[in-house]
Amino acid sequence: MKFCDTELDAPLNRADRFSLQTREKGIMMNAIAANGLQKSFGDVEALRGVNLRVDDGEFYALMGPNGSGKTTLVSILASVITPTSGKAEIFGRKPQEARNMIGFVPQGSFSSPMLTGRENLVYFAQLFGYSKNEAEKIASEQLLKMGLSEAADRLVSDYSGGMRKKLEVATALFPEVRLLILDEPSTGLDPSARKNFLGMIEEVNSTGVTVLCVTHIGEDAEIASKVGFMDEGVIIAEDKPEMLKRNSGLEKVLHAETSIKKEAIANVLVEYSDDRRILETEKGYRICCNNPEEAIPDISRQLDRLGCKLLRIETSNPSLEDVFYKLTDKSVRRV
Amino acid sequence: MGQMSAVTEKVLKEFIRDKMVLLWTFAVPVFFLLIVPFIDAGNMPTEVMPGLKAFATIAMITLLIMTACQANLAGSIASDTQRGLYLKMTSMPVKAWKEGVGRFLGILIFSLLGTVLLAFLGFSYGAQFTLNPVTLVESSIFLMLICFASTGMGLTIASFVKGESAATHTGVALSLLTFFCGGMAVPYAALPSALQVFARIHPISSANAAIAFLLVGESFAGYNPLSISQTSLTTAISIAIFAVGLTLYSEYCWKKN
Repeated sequence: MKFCDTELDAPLNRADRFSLQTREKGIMMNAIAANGLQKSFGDVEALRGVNLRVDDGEFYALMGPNGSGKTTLVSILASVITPTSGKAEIFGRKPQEARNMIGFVPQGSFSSPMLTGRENLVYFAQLFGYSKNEAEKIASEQLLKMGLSEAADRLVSDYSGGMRKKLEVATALFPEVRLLILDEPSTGLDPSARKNFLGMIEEVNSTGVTVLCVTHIGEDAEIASKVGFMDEGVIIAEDKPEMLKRNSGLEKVLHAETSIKKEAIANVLVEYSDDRRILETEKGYRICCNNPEEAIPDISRQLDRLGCKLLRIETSNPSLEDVFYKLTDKSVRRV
Repeated sequence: MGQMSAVTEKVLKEFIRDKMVLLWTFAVPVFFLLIVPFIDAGNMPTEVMPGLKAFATIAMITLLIMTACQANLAGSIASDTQRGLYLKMTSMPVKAWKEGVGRFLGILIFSLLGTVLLAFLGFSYGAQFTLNPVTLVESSIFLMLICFASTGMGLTIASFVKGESAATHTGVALSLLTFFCGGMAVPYAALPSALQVFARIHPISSANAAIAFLLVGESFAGYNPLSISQTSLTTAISIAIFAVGLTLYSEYCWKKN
């Protein structure tokens, strides 16, 4: 990747100079500072007093189930909507005044399928305020960085999901952007495209761009330097991913794939769960079990008696999704 | 200016590359232009035909502009809304009105390209117009009023109808309604009195009548659409519809998307 080289060679842009000045003055700048953010839509309280600090250059992942308020929070930070009460600042400014420092990639696919990748980038760069010539130059650089140069002049309708997502991140990464906000960016990508895409986001972050990434996929959040768990309109916990797992008290997680799924099966498994809770997954169940070696033979016998076959059983270290479940009794993924 | 021209360019490219937009915007008026003058042509004196073809050409240009501005524009905005483009743009340093004006300019250029095509086809087909610099300038002003009113309608539709297909169909329905009830498909004199009132009040049909009056003759307009009161009414309503459309668009497509 050419991110670092290009950035080092490039002259300092306005945002770089701003960042450098604050560092020289010894001011520790928060990329994001939100205090007591509340947002209501009619009777529905989407945010109930969110406090959030994200340092300049940090990669912060925000995890939570559907309806927990993640999108509302990032919409406020990206200046798309205003809070009912509370205060949000992006690099010390109101979000509306920091629009030229924010790159926002909302859910969905907003690039025009009837334009080429290059035309889309030129269009967004011009909307961002660059002249046509500057926009064309920036578009070429961005296409090169994202590895889309070869596909630059193809219509976006011919792009794969991963290519389209990369293009849309490129539309949010103009030279002045210091904060990249991504709302569920890897949704709909296959595992390989997702891995590739997340690698690219890590590269972006390594150039000094602060990243706030909303996700409900634990693996996506693992690469962040800090993870915040959001539930029912508030951030209930935040820390480094390893610390969240370490402090959860979880040691091992047992995944059981069963031939049938019914309450009686769940009742057997829950007996072996350390916290007496069980999470239903797409193919079976997941429980926290610190002594899986002892539990597995017993579980197998008991399920056999109920006429249920144990198709697969395996143990693993707890994921961030397991930690979230332990904290909230909710799955971040819809089952 | 850069933001406006970017939007204008995007709109133009999207329309020109979309085969269905081209088909329905251009093919339908061309088809009607070739067919309409021959309906009941057996009873028409031969000397009337060039004028009738000119009247049909003007009506088809108006239909094309209505289709482009009311149906295609509304559908394009609805599609952009569904794709989350407005969420993205709201987070950027872009003014809603500039983006709206950029769209208007895009649809205006697209409509003018269609106008040139249909006018050329009309000429080659034997349409006879009264052309002089004054009538040309005056007709162009009324053509602009048709664009203003149609775009206002298109922006209004896009503000309230969120699905792409629904927005496009609403625009098509409104265009056809205006076309058949506003003295474009049938002469003004043949309309029932209630529809004659509609044709005079509706800025698109009255502007169409004004162009017919200027370029073909009074008998094809059926009334004097160039009287001061009628011209003032047409101008005021066209601009009002455009202003209302732009305001609704800024409010409902941008702020409440």
